[in-house]
Amino acid sequence: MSALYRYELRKLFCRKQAVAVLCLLLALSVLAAIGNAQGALFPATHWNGYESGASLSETEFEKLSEKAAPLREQQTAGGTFSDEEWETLSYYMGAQEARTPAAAGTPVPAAETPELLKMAETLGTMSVEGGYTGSAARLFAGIPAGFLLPALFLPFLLSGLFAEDARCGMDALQFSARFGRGRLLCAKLLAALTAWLPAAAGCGAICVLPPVLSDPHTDWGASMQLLYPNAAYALTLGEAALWLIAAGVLLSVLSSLFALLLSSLCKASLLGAAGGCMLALYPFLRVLPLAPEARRALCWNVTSLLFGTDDSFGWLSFFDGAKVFGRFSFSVPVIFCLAGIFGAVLLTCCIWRFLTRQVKG
Amino acid sequence: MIQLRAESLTKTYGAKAAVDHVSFTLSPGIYGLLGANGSGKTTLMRMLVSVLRPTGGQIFWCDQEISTLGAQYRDVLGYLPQNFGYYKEFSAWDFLLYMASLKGLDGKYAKAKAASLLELVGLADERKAKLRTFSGGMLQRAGIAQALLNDPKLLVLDEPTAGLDPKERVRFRNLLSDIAKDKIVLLSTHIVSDVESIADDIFLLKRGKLIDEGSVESLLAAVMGKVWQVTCTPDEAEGLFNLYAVANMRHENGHVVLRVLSETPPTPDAEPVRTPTLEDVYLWHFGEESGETK
Repeated sequence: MSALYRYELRKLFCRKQAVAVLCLLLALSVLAAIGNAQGALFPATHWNGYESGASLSETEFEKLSEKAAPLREQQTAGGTFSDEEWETLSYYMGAQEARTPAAAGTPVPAAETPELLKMAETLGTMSVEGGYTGSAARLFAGIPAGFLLPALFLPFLLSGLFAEDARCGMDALQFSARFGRGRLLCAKLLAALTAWLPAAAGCGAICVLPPVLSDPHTDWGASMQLLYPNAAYALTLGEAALWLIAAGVLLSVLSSLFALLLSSLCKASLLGAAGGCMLALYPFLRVLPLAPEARRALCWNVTSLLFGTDDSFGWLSFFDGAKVFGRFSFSVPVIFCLAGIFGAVLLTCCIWRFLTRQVKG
Repeated sequence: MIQLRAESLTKTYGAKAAVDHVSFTLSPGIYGLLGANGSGKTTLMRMLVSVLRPTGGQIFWCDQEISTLGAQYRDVLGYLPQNFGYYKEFSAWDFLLYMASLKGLDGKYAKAKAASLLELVGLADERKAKLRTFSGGMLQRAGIAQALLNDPKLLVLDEPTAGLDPKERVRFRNLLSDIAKDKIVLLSTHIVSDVESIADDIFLLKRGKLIDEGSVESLLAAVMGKVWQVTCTPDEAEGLFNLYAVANMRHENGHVVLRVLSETPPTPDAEPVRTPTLEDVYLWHFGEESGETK
């Protein structure tokens, strides 16, 4: 078994396609990590006014924020903002990462203004109390990227596992040998896992670790609603990060399994890899020319899928005057269960196909 | 004593029967399976080595159905498929050790066996060379070596001499005679001379059906009196080509000398050939499929 495993591993990495994929995967992971950590590595020192072309330093911005405070108090009682006031306020709210419609000059409906402002104020308070930092935001942006890369590239690495044997005509020799079915299958799956694990872990680590390490003071015990006000579950940032990692791992496993099955069925490794890639990309699709209802069902984003942070997912939220509450349109475990069932079906099909496959004369 | 028995073995693809109710019993010895391209040889062999499930019928190894024996049956098998694949980046040595691990051979034994087999097939000096650098003949020899790794009791060789030059074919035949003592060796080919000198029994497979079987002598006896030598003009020869299977043609002093297969004398002055060959037998049965007419 160990000899078979070694040979399967060797066959996997002998292919030029595999080497190219691994190099590209590494390069893109580093690129993603730099992109993800650039806020920490190269912090911006100025606030730029896009329309006016004006630029504000941190000190100037702080002064502006102070100027905005009475405005906020004044507007809490009701009324509308002037263009100038709204611009000032949106600078302030942008700094606090509050999610508000932020087009300068847009009158805010009087009825909603107090609610929005109170929400922003509450978030501002919570941010300070909860120890919110930008590193958590970078982490949540980085995790999906960290697992999208292996989910996209591992199908290319693994799709040759079954297809190449059939393509080059080795399958007849293998299936007629004593260990040509069960043990060979185990060796192949073990080799696939060996290739998958470090690649997925490596990519994940490259994208996840820089933001975590760049700010050791991040409070991972803080509520994730600080980051995603409409998040549907009462999770801490740390718990949410773990769930997101689990989803990434699952996605990567699913895309690899799908590639294995498709390549085995079609005896074409490239086709299998393409299928795996498509499956991996699917959760990241944001814009499809579909009705909103259909988009909710077909098009989703990993983060919003898990935590209901995106309106394409149909989250419901409400603000009781002090806190924001969110409700997801369906329960998160359902997604995990569906993905798990899909994965189990794929794996069973792979195994069944290999164990019963015939070599036609 | 070991025995392989096929009972009414059938494989159909849709309405087409690739192998049609084939039955035979094999005991130790060398058997040739002769048939034109597409006659079902490969399908039959793939069923015998358990990589293809029969649509009907059964295969017994020592009176036990092979699907019930499973790995135990595959343990006694040595198989060389037609156009077998290989991993380009593997050397002959790696390839044999990979196959040895598939066959469940112990590491030390596998290495010793691989070394001796590479010696036997004349690839000892090229053991470290990548398979992609091998010629067709060298690959075929590597394939033969892998089939022998587990010292099989049943050796199934599908077109083993394809791609071998005449010298290599002679060498292969001698090798096969050497190793076949207590084994069942089934050898498929459409190259008649490969089996003529070494096969104890020959099976003739035509369109999936076993049409004849027997020793070379008995098969030759069946065409005795049906092989004729005709000396004629080129124009007459053209007419005979259209009517009969012609095994050979040569020009001699402005005339054409033909070797014609026919139940009755094809021309009044045709002379019977007293020593028919297996090639005559092949043409007698497969002439139409080989593009000849009878």
